[in-house]
Amino acid sequence: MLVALGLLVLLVPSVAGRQKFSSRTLGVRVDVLVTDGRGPVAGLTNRDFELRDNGVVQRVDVVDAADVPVNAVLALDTSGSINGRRRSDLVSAGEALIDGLTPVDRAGLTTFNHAVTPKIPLTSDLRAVRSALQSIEPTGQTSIMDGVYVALTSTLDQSGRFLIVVCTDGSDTTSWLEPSEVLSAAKRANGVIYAVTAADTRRSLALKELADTTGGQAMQVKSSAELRATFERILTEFRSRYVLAYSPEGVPPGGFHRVEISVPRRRVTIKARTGYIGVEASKQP
Amino acid sequence: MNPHPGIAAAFAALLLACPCAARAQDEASAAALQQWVAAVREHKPGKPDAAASTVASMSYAERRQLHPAMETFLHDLHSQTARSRSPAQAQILELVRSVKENPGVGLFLRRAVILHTDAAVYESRLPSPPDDAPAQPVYPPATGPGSRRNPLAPPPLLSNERFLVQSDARVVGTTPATWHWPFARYLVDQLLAPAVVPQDDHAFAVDWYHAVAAFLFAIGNHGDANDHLHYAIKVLPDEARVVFDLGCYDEILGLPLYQALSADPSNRNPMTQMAVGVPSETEADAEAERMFRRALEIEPGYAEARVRLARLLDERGRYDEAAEQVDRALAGTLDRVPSFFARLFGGRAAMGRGRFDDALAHYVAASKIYPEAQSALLGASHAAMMASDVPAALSYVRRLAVDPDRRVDPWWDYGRGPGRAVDELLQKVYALVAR
Repeated sequence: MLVALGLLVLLVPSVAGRQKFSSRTLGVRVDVLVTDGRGPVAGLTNRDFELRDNGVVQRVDVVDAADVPVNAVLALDTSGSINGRRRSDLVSAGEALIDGLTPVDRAGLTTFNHAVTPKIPLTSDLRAVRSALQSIEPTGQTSIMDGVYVALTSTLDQSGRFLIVVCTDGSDTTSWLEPSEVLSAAKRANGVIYAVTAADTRRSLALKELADTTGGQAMQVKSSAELRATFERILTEFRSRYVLAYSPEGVPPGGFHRVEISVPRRRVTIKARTGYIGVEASKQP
Repeated sequence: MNPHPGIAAAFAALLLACPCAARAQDEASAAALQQWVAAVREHKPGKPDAAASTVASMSYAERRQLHPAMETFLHDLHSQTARSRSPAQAQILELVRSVKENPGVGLFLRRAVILHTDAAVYESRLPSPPDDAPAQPVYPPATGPGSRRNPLAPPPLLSNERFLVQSDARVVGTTPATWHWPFARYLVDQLLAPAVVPQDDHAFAVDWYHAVAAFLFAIGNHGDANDHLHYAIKVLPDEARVVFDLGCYDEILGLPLYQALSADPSNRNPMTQMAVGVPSETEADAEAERMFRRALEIEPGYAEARVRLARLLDERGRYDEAAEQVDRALAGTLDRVPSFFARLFGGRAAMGRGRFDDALAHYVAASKIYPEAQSALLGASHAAMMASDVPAALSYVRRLAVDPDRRVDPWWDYGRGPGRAVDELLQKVYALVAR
């Protein structure tokens, strides 16, 4: 039996009764954003999608994403450059995202300067996350990759959909982990990374690659004043995504599985994770 | 307002044309020298005392005044004393005679070096000089054998460089560089000038260059470190510590801190309006590797040079060679920090070789040396994840819940190089001029 790490349990108990699952065991789940020129495309069903796992067409179920709680993990840069207005705008943006969550959603907070601090593990106590946001004190250097890695690991032993919002204004100066190492972790985890940077593209190449690989998006803001609206837009977009679930058939377990998704007969753009690392049964935790 | 250099030069020429004015200038210069000699004699090494204040607060104008007498004085320290022709020259010769008699040229010069060292080291606790120097063009470093200083550059006593200031990989301005370092190096040159250099003086020079490099690394002053170490390698090319320090400097340029600085086109040098010039990571690492290999040629037991060499090999995907260097370093005696780095780099080399269990063993060993080190814990977590051991991967991350203010990770200070031992190294140098 093949599963991707952390994807063993797809159902979220509190809403399981409302989900549109088949009775099959569904091992892999993919968050998919479908857009056309006017924005997200709604109303698609499993018959509209074609999903290939390592080139083999799979039978997919479309989970009603609106029924699946969101696990939002904020990974925020709190290095010395996030001072003054930037700090207050960042806190405000974090609060806006928290405010957009529903009572069944959960949130977590990881901060990073040179030190990564998993401040609040995923919790439905959103007030605790708000409070932790307000206690941010910018100082020190920047370990972006280390911070993203820790945020990713918070999805490993949890079920549900994971939105990881990484926000940084600077360059990585002190991480131990290399971008390639974090990328390999992202292929094993199950979060969709949205990377918000205040810097130019060259600085955030590693974050862009992480966002692309996980089916998320790299976004740039011209000033910290745009952060709040950007965070709100991310949550709205995330909620408009489809969740495809399937049990891989006809492909060997283990190794990297390339996932290709299309919507035949429609002119749309699709954003989804590019694949996942499958784990053989003998290596399952 | 600073006078234009050309106007200042014309004014000086006019002064020299008038014998009485020139005489007054000579006498003022000799008086300034006398004050400086007194400061050298009175200074207590390692203390921000009144003597250190005297030199720390010197304006550019005062340095200009001191310069002619200083040149005569330093020249005469190593030569036969000529007959004096003027009261000012007589005063200088008397200072030379007294220094030769007590405490002797070598010890006096060492103390002078320490006076200016302390003026720089304790800069924040001493009065600041006015920023009255004219802007100095950027001089390329001297190249070629024997050419330590660019002939176009001003004399060390009158140096007036500016360095870029960066914070978290952003250029945030410029700052005047202290003149004490180039002048102290000039004084060390005088110490090493005799055909046969006394062993004490040579040992002092080596220890001083190393201690100052450590200090500059410790405070993150890589602008001065650049000048200091490129000068040092010309003065002491076969000293393992000097070669090692230059390797550390080159390595720092290849680290993300500096690479991020040059990768960001918005970072510009405010003095030239050009992009910040930092060698590429490949160039910096290659030069650092050359230096560490050279240090190991001179001193094969230089364990930290071997450990740092291993990191550079890791960086370029030469994992087998890196692992071999780590093994050789670990087979010897290593202090706590180099031992931690050896384990860290051993972990990365093992990951590169696809040996996740070996990597985990290295990272776990590193986290035993520094239990809260983020680098070791994340390395261990990643190795465990690659080995599909998710519970273990999570357990290492959970150990980061420790208050970050109490967390110690030598990796964060990797760029400090020998700077982590700065206090010990400076004390060693101070002991060499003890009264």
